[in-house]
Amino acid sequence: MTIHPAMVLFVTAGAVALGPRATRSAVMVLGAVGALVAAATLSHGAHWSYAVGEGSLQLLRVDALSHLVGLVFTLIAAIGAVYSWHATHRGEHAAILVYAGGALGVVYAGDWISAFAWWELMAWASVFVVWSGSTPRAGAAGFRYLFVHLVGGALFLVGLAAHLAGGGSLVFGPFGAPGGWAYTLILLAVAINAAIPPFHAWLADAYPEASIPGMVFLSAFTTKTAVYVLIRVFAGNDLLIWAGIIMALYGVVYAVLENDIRRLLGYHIISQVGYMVTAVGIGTPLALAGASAHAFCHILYKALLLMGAGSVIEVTGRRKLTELGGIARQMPWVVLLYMVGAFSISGVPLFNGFISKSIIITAAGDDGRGLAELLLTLASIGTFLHTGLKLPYFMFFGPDRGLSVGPLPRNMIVAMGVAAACCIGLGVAPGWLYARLATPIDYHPYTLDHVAGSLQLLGGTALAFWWLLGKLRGEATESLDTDWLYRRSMPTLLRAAAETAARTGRLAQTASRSAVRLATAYAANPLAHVGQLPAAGPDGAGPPAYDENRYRLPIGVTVLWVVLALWLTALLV
Amino acid sequence: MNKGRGAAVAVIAAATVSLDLLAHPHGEMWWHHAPGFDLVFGFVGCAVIVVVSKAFGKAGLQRPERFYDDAEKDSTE
Repeated sequence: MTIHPAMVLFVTAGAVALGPRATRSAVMVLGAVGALVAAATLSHGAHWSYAVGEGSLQLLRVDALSHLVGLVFTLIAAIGAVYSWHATHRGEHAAILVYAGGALGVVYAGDWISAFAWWELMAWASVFVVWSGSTPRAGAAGFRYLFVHLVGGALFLVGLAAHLAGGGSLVFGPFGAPGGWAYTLILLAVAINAAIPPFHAWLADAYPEASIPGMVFLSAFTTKTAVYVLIRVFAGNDLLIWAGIIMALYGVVYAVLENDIRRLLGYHIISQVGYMVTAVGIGTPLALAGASAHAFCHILYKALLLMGAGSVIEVTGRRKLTELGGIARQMPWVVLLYMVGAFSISGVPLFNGFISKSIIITAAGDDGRGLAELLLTLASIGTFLHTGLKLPYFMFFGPDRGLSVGPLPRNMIVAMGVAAACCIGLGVAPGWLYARLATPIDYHPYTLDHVAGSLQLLGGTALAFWWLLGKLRGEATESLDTDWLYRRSMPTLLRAAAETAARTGRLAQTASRSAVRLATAYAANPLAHVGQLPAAGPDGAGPPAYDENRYRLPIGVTVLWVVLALWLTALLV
Repeated sequence: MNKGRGAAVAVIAAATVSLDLLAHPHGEMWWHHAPGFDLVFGFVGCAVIVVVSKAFGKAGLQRPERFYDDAEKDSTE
């Protein structure tokens, strides 16, 4: 039987929103697992098509790529549902399920119109996830997030209109050729969701303001849905190679400066998505396989890392490196599970990042792009430095600040355990993942030179970390990013514009008031303002019987007014 | 650097570089064939990342905490 996994999530969202509190968590987990089962049992080639007008809308289209991405999306929804078992909120979790459903909708969509509709639903549902952080900061960040995504949605819509008006195909797939308005606008919209600089600041701004489970879900769907669309539509666009490399390094630089643990991990989402974007740009079968494999692995280890950091925030109530440290002994399981995620993202052999990131780096080398290969390797050094060394060192070990650690809900550990098991499982047996990629690849990650190279790279990084430890301590600062444009300069500009408008208004008011004063004086008795001959004769002997000159001037003025009015009317008509 | 640390560094370096010598690296670029390249690249790359990023931070990217909050307060006053 073919069931659209997104529909399972929507039904679950309804049940979570309307159902009783007592069963809410169970309903959420059951629904997410149900969606996972639905996604796993979809057979390739399954489709739901509806004829509309001359074309047809395709709500469900299952091929290797959508099957794989749908699988990991529903898997992470299920893991996240377990993670938030102890605190399932009506509004937040309904929004999360609708958001996840929207992402799945895009993945399974077979036509552009459905893809766009799901895309928008995803943006709207996710802003409620951000707002569910329930702090003033979350409220403000949510509005900025919404603003950016609405701009993205508008670009997508205009691009789509241009595509269809130009006789483009309704089938959600590659454009005939790059270039043109439709291509550019839709690429721009997808670049916003993929968080490609300079359109990335919404991610580091809004995600860390969501609730602890909220960010785990957010990290999985929006950017990876964008990567999915890039793979499907924009594969082989050279521009993306450099956009991705800049992205990978950009995230690393900001991670050095960041003090907020979840924002630091947010910058590493940007960095990791950079690998996928580069791979899409390279566009060879190996690179595209690497992009989808890395997206799959990334969702798992990034969720694990965020669940680890979230657990720390849950039990300490603190989110900054400068306020954390010395809690490793009190939460050994979290340290252990976090480190599985850290080793995975860093590409340590036997963990899942190793078996997917190396495909992309190898694909860059095979395509003769040596510089790209080296720069991606450099970004990989930064990843290990921050996520694998700096963050755990200062978060768990580091100076003891005498923090009292509260009890950690057991469901959080269980969810992290499942994610960690997936990371290690894929790392040890990559064949499972490789067999499910859209293009079959002949790739062997565990060759002696690969493993030796990775270990050297990690060892070298660890040595430099150790050497520079003093410099890497968190600093109580915030970093300026491109969101400065709309958080600082745009308000200043708007304020200046408003002030100018107000001043102009006041000036106009004064001017019109004096004009009215002049006009009333005239209108009260127009005759007083035109020359008249005196009513009495010059000798004061009473009015003359008739003087033909007496009303000549007033009548002349009246005629002048009428002529002017007619002329003005003629001008306007 | 004390003796223990020095020994640890030497062991890591020797172990991983000797793996390189055992392996038969494939790849077209010269660095795929240079033994110990990744170790040096890891060390130098890490140092470069830290130094360059911190320089960016000092050049103006890093601002005091509550930078935006204070700005928002100013604007409502």
